[in-house]
Amino acid sequence: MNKPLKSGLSAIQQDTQLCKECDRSSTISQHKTHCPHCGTPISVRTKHSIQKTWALLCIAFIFIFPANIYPITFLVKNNEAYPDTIFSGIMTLVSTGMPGIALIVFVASMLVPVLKIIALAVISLAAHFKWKMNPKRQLLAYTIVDWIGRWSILDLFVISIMMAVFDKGNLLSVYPGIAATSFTVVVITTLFAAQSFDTRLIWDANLDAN
Amino acid sequence: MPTNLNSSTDSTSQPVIAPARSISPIWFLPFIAAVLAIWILFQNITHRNVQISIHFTNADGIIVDKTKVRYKGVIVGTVKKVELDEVDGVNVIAEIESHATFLLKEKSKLWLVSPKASLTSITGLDTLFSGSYINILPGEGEDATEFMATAEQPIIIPDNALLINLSSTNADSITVGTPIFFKKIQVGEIARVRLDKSGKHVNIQAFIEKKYSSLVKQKSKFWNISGLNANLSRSGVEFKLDSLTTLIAGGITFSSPEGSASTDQDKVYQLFENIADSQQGLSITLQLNNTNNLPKRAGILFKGHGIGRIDNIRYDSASQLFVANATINPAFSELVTESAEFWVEQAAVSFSKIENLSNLITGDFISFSHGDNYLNEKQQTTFMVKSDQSKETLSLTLIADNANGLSENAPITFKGLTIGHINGLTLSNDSQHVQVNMDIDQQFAYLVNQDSKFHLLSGVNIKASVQGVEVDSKPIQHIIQGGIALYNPTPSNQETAPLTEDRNFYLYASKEMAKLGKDAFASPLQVNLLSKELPSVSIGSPVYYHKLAIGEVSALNLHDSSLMQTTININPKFKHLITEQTIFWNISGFSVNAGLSGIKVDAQSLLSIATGGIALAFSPDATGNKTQNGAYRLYNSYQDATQPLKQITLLYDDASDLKVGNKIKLKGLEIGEISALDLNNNNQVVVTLDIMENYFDKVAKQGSRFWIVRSDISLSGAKHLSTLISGVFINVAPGQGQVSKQFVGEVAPPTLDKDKVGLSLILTADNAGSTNIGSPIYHRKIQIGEVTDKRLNSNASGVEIMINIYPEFSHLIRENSIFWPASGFNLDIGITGAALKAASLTSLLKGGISMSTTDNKPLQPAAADYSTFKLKSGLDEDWLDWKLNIPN
Repeated sequence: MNKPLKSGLSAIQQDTQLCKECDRSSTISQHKTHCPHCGTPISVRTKHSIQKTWALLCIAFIFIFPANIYPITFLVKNNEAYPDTIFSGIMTLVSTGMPGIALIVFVASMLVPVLKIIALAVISLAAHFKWKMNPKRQLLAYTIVDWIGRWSILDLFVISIMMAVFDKGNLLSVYPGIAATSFTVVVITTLFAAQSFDTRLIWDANLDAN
Repeated sequence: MPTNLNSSTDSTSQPVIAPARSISPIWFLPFIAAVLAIWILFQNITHRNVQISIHFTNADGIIVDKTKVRYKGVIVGTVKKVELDEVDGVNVIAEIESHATFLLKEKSKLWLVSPKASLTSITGLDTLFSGSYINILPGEGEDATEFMATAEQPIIIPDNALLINLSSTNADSITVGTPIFFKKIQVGEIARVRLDKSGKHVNIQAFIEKKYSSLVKQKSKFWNISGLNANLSRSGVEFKLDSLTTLIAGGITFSSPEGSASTDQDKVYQLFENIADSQQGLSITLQLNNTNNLPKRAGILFKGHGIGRIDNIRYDSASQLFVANATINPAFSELVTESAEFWVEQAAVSFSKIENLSNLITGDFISFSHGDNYLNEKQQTTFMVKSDQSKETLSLTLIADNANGLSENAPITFKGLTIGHINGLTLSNDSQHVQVNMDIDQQFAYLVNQDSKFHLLSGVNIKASVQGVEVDSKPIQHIIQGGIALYNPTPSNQETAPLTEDRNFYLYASKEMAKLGKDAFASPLQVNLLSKELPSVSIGSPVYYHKLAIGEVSALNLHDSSLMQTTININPKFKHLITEQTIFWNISGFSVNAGLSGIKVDAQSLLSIATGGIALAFSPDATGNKTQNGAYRLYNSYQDATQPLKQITLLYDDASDLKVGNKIKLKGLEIGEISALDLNNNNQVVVTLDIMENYFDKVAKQGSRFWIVRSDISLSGAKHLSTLISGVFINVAPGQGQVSKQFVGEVAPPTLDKDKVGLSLILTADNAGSTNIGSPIYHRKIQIGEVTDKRLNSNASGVEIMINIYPEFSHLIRENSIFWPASGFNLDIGITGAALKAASLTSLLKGGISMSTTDNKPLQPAAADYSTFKLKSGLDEDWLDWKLNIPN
């Protein structure tokens, strides 16, 4: 039933569509909405893929500002709240002689979200405007963003642990700030943005460009 | 893309699917995010933080980014920068959060709060941990961004607090922040202390919290309760301390009189120095002759309670008097009426009393007393101060022999209660007597009536006797000052003659004399006494009646009848004591009766020991108390005078051990003694016994037996050991026959069985063994009788032992009772060894007889007197087990 697929052509051109669930191809049929192999809803291209990605990216873009400007934690020490932004935290780490950790925090909390947004934006733009770019590189970048995205949640994980551990009321405790919420929004939206992006569009753009 | 799809399908029958250019609903999310972002942005723009600059003299404790600016505890900003001012001090740049910018007005005050610990308060303790912070107090005026920091926390007057103005002469321990208390609850604070323009007063502004503002009334008075209030008064030094806070920080309190209208803002209250000053009392004027020792601000006391004080004293040259303005506590002002009296209480130090000693140090004070009817009298404000309290008294005159023991101001007492005092002592017109002028307090005047008597309160009355020394002293005051006591012989419930105007009283030497006293000042009665030899008295020796001195020896002469004549003068008051029945005896000196039984000292009184003396008493049956010529006989002793001894003679063949002075005893009771030993014509010793009168009738009877008791020491015991030391005595067993005065004395005690006491039994035995007269009879080791005699029987085949069972045990002896010797010890020697049995140590020494009654047979009748029993030769062990019940 399956005829061998040729290289250099897209699957659509070869009347084939791929099930994202079981990675098996089937012929495109007008009425076929489910994978004949596993029964998963199947489509040739994910509907509104780029729109979703863009929308989520917009949210991430908006929230990355308060995430970096506003305090992410409040350290209450002796009845006095000491707010800390991500950046001030990094600077504290640097000033207390822990540049390594500062670098990790900087990469994980500041650089990665920004780069994620940029990378996704570039890939999406390329797919939308059918820029001629190396699809393999785009796919690599996408893979990296997809993989590293989940690690951005680390910051929030640390904050939640600190809140649980330092809970001595007015003497010593940690509360999350607005930036924590914003940062969470950034992380989640970028995660979903990456998820909602249909990588097949990279190839479509390339083929169209050719 | 879909076009491509279409182009690649060759089926034309397929409907052309138009590409869905719809917008995904996901865009709703970025829209919300965008709105949020815009809103935050708007907030940031509109609520921009304001930078202000605060000028401090130094930046101690201010840390950039750490030091906060607070308003009512809320953080409203943070210090962002500290820079040196070009001229002086530092400028602290702080960022005030946008929502608090309304605080930043021209007159807003900012100051640094740092931990401050003082005696009164610890403030800013939180800053110990959190660090100092800048506090802000909003003021009025235009918006401002540059401020001068104030050095200290400004007084924050709470909203709607009542502001009051106080005026004081000085700001003694009043500072800004001094609390105002009402009933020890802080209700306000001093807000401002300023010297007024004239420099004479201190104007104090204070506020009372709104909820307490109603307490301040028009007539409220404010006074200082600051610090320690030491009040040196008559009663000592009184320290008054309101609270530790006020000791350190001072304090003000005020009164809130009920019914007074509430205050208004313009009223200026006077701040008094203390509560006493704040009392607005009744002002009175006192006129004084002199102001000796009257201190400034001398107190006015009413029954010891301070009711006011003298404010100032000035001299009025017109009236030549000192005029004192005094203030009386309003509570007592109604007492100050026309009849009120003021007098100066001075320290009085005399031997009799020490009064108001504290006045020596604190100065005198003025005492006050109100009239009895003050309620109906008009108030008066000008008084003459007297030197002493005027009292209504009853003046009496006493006539005394001399003024010994009397002094001015000595008290007159009645039953120990002071009812007056001696006003003065003068000589009578004829210089024979001393006149004592007394004042009896009016309230006690009723005690004095026509029959009243006065006597001297002598100081110490020492009675020394063989029993010891008895000191009877009146209160020490009387010892020192003496005094006079009133004695009313007539009971108070009886009608007495009222006191007449010119009644003169006599002063008796003692209460006893007062009781007896009549004709105290008549001539003495002379009595002559005759005696064989002169008593050891001298002229002046006292004559006693029941130890009361009622006269003295006036002369010692030789009488015509070759007897010695003693003349005594009896105080006329006691004339009535000399009657036909009066007997006199000599109590001179003391007699020492030293014998083997000890030393007996007999002394009448210390005085009589020293000077000798004569005593007298009534003796109703006195007969020979007078000689034929009318003079009284002077006996050697009371015994001689009242109970002449009666004599009995005993005849003894041998009077060894007997001495004059040996006692005569009846049942252990001493009834007389041997007065003489003599030989009669038959070479018999005639022993004369002096027997006391009251025993004479008992013993001077036929049948009485007299025997000598001497010590008896033998193996079986010792008797009458005391006679070894005290000498033998003669025991008497009284008889019942006719009166007889002559008896034959016996040397050994008569046998007891003749006394018919107890149950007499006869035991027969082979020999007497270790039984002796006096050996005990035992029943169950309890002595129930004793051996009275032992003798050979008629044919000398055995012995008869007479025993006597004590009456209380006589019922124990039954017809079948058996007796065995308990004497000595039993030595049983057998194979098992030797057993030594001894009944008791006593029986070992004294011998003895045991008895028991068998319980095998019913109880037999009790043994009759003089029944005969056989004394068993030995003991059967079974006998000891008998347990016969013998009812009494």
